[in-house]
Amino acid sequence: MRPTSFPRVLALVLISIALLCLGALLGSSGIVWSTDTAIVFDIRLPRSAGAWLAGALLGLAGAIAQGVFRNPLADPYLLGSASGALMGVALVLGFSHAISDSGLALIGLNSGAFIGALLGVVAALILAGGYRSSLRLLLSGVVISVILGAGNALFTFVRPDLYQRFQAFMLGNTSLLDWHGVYLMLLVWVACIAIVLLLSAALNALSLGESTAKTLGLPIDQMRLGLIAVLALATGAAVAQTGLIAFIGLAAPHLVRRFASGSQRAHLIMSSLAGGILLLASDLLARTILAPLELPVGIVTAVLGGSYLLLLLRRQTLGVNP
Amino acid sequence: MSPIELRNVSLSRNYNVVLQNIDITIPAGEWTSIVGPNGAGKSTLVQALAGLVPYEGSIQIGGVELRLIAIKARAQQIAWLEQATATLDSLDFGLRVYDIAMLGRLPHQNWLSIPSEEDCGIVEHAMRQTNVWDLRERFFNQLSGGERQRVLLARLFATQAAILLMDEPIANLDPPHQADWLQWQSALSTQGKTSITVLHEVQLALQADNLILLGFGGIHYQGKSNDPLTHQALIDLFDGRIELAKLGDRWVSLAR
Amino acid sequence: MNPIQSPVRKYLKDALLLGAAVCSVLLSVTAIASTTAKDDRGTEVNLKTPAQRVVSMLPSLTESVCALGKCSVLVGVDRFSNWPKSVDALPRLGGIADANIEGIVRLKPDLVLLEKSSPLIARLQSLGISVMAFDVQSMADVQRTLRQLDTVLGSTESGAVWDRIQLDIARASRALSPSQKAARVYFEVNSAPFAAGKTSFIGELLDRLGIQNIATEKMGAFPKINPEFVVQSKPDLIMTTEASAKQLAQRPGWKSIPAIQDNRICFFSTIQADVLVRPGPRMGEAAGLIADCALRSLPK
Repeated sequence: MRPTSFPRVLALVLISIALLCLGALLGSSGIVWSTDTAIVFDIRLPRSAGAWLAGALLGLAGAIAQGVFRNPLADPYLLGSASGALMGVALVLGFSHAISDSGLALIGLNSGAFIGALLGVVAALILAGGYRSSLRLLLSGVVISVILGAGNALFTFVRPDLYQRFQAFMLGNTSLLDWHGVYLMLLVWVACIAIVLLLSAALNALSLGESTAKTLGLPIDQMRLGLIAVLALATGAAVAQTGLIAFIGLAAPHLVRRFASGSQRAHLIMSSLAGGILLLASDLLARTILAPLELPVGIVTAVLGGSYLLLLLRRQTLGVNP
Repeated sequence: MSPIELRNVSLSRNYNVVLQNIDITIPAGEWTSIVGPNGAGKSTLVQALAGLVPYEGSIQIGGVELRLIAIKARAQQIAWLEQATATLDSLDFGLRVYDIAMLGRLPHQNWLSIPSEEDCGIVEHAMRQTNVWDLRERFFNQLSGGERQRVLLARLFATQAAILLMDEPIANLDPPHQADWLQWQSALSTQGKTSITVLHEVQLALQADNLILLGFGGIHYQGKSNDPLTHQALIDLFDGRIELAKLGDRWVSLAR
Repeated sequence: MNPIQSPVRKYLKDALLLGAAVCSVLLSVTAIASTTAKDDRGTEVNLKTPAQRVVSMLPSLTESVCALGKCSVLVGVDRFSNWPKSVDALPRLGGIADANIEGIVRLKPDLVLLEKSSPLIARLQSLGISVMAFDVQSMADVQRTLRQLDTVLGSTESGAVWDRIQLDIARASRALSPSQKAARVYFEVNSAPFAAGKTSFIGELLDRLGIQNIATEKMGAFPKINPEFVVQSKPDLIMTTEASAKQLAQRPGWKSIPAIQDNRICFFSTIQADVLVRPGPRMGEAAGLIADCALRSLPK
């Protein structure tokens, strides 16, 4: 990482901490310091920390997706992880009558989403016949998404009574985050960052094109597989806790690209931090603007992230760097 | 240093045989140029030497079979410059010229690929050599074609590989820089590096030490570039559509 | 009086009184001490007292609590609960997707009543709040729910409420003539169109009233039917919500349905629709609405 990146990373870390503190203050009753410690420690803090971590996981996954596929429109869901997660949720909801305690069913729901997301990516890998071609992977990811999407539509048709639950998951939700989920996401995030630091050299090499990258002495194909595994893990962990929150994975990498100046490693870390900030900020707005009502967080992320992207686009003409 | 030996090599792309029965000896420490009509398989041959294309037969580098060399060792010994028509993608990662050149040091770096002092020195030297040191903070996408090519050449030189494979290295270079390139080329030879270039500018190819003439399906001829037999083979290769004339102490080719 | 017996009798009396007092205290203490009930998940819910602060996150459960005379213990309801009028004054805690966890916790409830498939169950339990989950789909479910609520709320009205519901349904059924009962009805719940099938709660009501449903048992609870099926079945009476009402005649082929030509269509307002779709204590009223519709629209 170039030395100039350190102060920027530090800035993002500080902003994150500030937002977390704000998260302890903001809640359903507006900006108020609640003297009820249960509210602060059992509800607001895990929710804020969880929102940041989910955003960080999605931001990281999005940066990986855009780097591996060399495509600015790539997001973490493109290898079938979103529709896979939905399918997992559908199966758990559908069979939850067999699970009498619906508390168990909810834990089952999170695990179902996680496993479904992973299986979606595995299916895309299998369909592509391996991890050697980015284009094939991209295409098979789209195919898997479509097929599983049809399956999910069929599910909502066969079980219209579960449709509302299903849709609530699809829209994404940060209000049910608890410490258990926070610990899980923290574990996954730390592991993913560590692995990605080792594999980011592959992304640097890929800037020169796939063929040249292979002549630079790195096992590019295997490293690509590793990056996709991290992508699947990070996306699955986030989706399991918060549902399908749109736009974070797509927007966060773009928001920091101009600051990451070259190093893929810096870009990946900054995308992760930016993703966390974006989702946490959206969550804070979602619970404050119409308190005690809550806006769906997915709407706020789209508005926040989209507005800033629009601003960026207006400032630069297409094809020329900032 | 032992030469590069190709024995009975066959190369296929998508199940179509491009070249077969290739027997070549490429002398070490000299500049060999591969010449031939479009589509003959020049790029494919060079890619096979870079280890990018599977081959049948035997390619020996320093006495070791190419496919048995570990990829990192191979990357340290052999550097490959892609044909410039392969456009670097438009995804503006904000890569600066310096970062691109530094990528040449990847084969020598560890997993975390953090540049060492030595790496920085080597990259600076390579960049100064190709006159791109002043551009080092510019974004790669904003450069002209010629500037980009010189940056990529700097990247190639920074690898410090013993064998340099260059596919159309002077594309987009204006005449002054083409002349510069010739100087860099002779400097490489002085350093004892083996260069293998694909050039369709026959004049420049004729300035190499050795020529490999590639026709459709196989080797047409290989030999020293100042050998009259080589010249005759060259004219035959292009169906007599060129003629060669001596200008000073160099040969030029003219379209007939 | 025997002078020896008097003091003994006095002590006996005292002892009996004391014993009675102790017993009644003990009994009332145990009565206050704990209530246990099994909810529809099969989980035992333990409450220290009959619940004094209850949050209900399902309209039919809100209505059930009030029907049992325990409206006063409600401290918060979900966004959709709107009956009886008194619950409008209570804090609203959102719906399924936007439940206000903080709001619920801040109300410090003894008990939260939820639907069995609610995503809030695990979260609330992890925050240490007692939760009861109900699966209310059919009429039998309503009876069971009322009994369970009796136990946790410390009320005794479930039997009476259920009897009243049955009376209302029977009365509504009696009001219909045999030819009206022979009528075949298409009940549309949603303009997709989704029909109320025989196994749905509305379907059960129709059954109890003796009215025929064009949807067969095989179709399930809320089948998404082919509009052509309705045209072919030629129902005698169509029941739907006000919202769908306007465009019924415009659906292709529907003009040929006799019920549409003779305007034998009942439109239910949103308030009436609320009564009809909630399996709760107002089932008797729902039966009455359906019977009124049949009486108005069908010839005797």
